[in-house]
This record gives sequence, structure tokens and C-alpha cells, in this order.
Amino acid sequence: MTSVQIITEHIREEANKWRRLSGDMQEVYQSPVVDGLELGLSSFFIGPTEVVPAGIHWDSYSAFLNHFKTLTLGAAIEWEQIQGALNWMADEFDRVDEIAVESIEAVWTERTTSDGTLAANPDAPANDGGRPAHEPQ
Amino acid sequence: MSPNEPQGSAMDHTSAIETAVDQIRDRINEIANRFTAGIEGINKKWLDLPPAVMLRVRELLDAIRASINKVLDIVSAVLAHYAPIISMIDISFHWLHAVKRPISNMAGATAKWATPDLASWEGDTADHYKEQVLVFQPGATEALADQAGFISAWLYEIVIANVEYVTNLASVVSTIAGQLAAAAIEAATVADLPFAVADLAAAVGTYVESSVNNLIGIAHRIIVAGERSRQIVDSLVDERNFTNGLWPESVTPPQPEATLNG
Repeated sequence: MTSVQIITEHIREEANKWRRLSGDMQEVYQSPVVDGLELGLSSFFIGPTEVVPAGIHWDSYSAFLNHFKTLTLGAAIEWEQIQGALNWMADEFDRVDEIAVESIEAVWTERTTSDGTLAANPDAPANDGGRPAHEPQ
Repeated sequence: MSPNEPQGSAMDHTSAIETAVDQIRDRINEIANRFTAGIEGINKKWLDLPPAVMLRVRELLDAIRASINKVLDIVSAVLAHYAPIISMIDISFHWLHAVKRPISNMAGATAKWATPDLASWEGDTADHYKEQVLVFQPGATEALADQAGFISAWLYEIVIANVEYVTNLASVVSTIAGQLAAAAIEAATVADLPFAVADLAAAVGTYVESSVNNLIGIAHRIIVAGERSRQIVDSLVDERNFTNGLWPESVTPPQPEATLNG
């Protein structure tokens, strides 16, 4: 077994880690985040509605829940894509002896730091929930 | 870790509410029965009372009824609304046990190599993976777990105020039932009756006023939590971890041209 083969095995194990985590996050996303955390307007106060107008509570909670849904789904998609990228990379290592470093690097999105803040890669394509393409030519 | 996360179990809190609601139902019936018995007792003595005294007794009875009605209005709202509060209690615990806890466990797993052998993986891609993926993904996951803890604590604060509100109401209703029992209007002699009714009206009136104010004070904590909620939502728009409210991207799905140029 060559050292490249050993590395590809390990990379595939790392990819499996992300696939498993993506599945775990999808489970949390589906239940309870999507189907178990909705609250109604009357959920916030047990007494007469005119004593505590709960519109503000409900608005804020609903906005938060939507934000949380976006993030959990986003994590599940991203992790599935990391899995895809690692497996694709392992395929590339296996396929050619001479590794095209540039093409492999193009897969990874740069997040740069400037004055302590981080920015997402503006050139990154939108997350469409799809699996990465595995047949680059 | 949020300091005000739910304590105990959801069951502890839902059973506290159910116990209070059962107690309120029992005592409200007792109040109605005792009040009716008092009126019937007075009606039997109707002919023995001078008209001016009877008029005064009627006024006092109206005052007692009005005080009791203030509490009854709250009671009927509570009996209509307690079911959604029970689901809110469950949800405040779900955020902790079914969202924060598993996501927090994932945060640890994202940062760990699947196999320690890969730690010796070197080169630009390896550096990128170590410095970007293994830093931003765990950081975002930890931040997500914190947000779940945060909302759970916010809901729990509202749960506690609701439990206190209904428990307090149960004790108010019990106290009024006790006041009616102690006055025993139906057993008063004709000579004592006007004084017994006047004493009861004063006691119930004063007690109801202070109790209703106390309940408003407890409800006010829920109003304040609502005012704070806008701030909470703003603070959760966490640009450091979630630029534009989105999950950080560490990977761009490979494009066909990526290898053509490589």
C-alpha cells in the first residue's frame, strides 16, 4: 500500500464523519426544529389576554425559530458537501499519481479574517442542497 | 451555558399547573355554593329586616359579588388557556434536551479527526482543512448550541412566571373560599347579619384588590420578557459566526472546470 492510498483511506474516514454528522443534524432539523417547536399566540400567558399582549413574544419567537431552521438545514447541507468534497478529493488522489493541487484547492472556500470579523466567500455558489458534482473532468 | 436554563423536568412544571388548575376548579365551586347559601339564608330573614338595613345588605352583597367576579374573570381565562402553556413548558425543555444537547455533542465531534492518523496530513489543502473547516464548522456549531440554550432560558423564564401566576391564583381562590366559610352568613342571627355581611365585604374587597395587583405584578414579568425579546432576536443575528444569518461555507462543490484548468 502506498502512502497516498493510506491517506485516501483516512480522508474517506474523515468524509464519513461529516456524512454521519450531517445525518444527525438533519434529524434535529426535522424533529424537533421543524415539527416540534412551533408556539401559538396563546402559548405565552395563562391569564387574560388583555393583561399580557403576547404579539411581541410570538413575533420574536417565530423570527428566531425561522433563523434556527435556516442554520440547522444550512449545517446539514454544508456537512454533506464537506463529505462530498473529501470523497471527491480521495477519488482524485486514487485516480492520478500527480495530484492537481490547484483543482483540489478550488473546492475549499476561503473565509478571510479582517479586523476580527469573518466574511463568507462572495464567489461561493449558493447552497442549493445538492451533492457536489463527483465527476470533474 | 446559559445560567437560567430549565431546571428539573417538564413534568414537574406541568403537574404544578395541573394541580393549581384542579384546586381552582374545586374552590370556585365552593365559592359559588357558599355565596348561594348565604343569599338563601338572607332571603329567609328578609321579612325580619328593616327595609333600610335590607337595602344596605343588598349593596354589600353586590360589592362582594363584584369582587369575586374580578377573580372569576381571571379564573375563566386561566381555565381556557392552560393547555397551550403546558405545550410551551414542553418546548422550553425540548430546546435544551432535543436541540442544544445533541448540537453541542456535534460541536465536539466536528473538531475531532475521524482518525488521528490524518493529523499528519500535510500540504496546502491539509492546511486549509485544518485552519478553515476544523475551525469555522465547530465554532458555528458551538454558537448554534448556545443559541438553543439561550431561547430555552428565555422561554423558561416565561414558564416560571406562568406557574407562579396560576399557583398564586389557586391560593387567592382558596383564601376567598375560606373567607366565605368563616363569615357563615347563612348561620348569622338577624341582629348579627348586617355586621357579618359588612365584615365579609370589607375583607373580600381588600383581599381581592391586593391579590389582583399581585397577579398583575407577576404578569408584568412576562411583559418585560416580551420587551426584551426584540433585543434577544437582534443579539442572535450573530455576524461573527453566521454572516447574513447563514451557515458558514467551507466548501464549494467541485465544478467541472476545476480540473480542466488544474
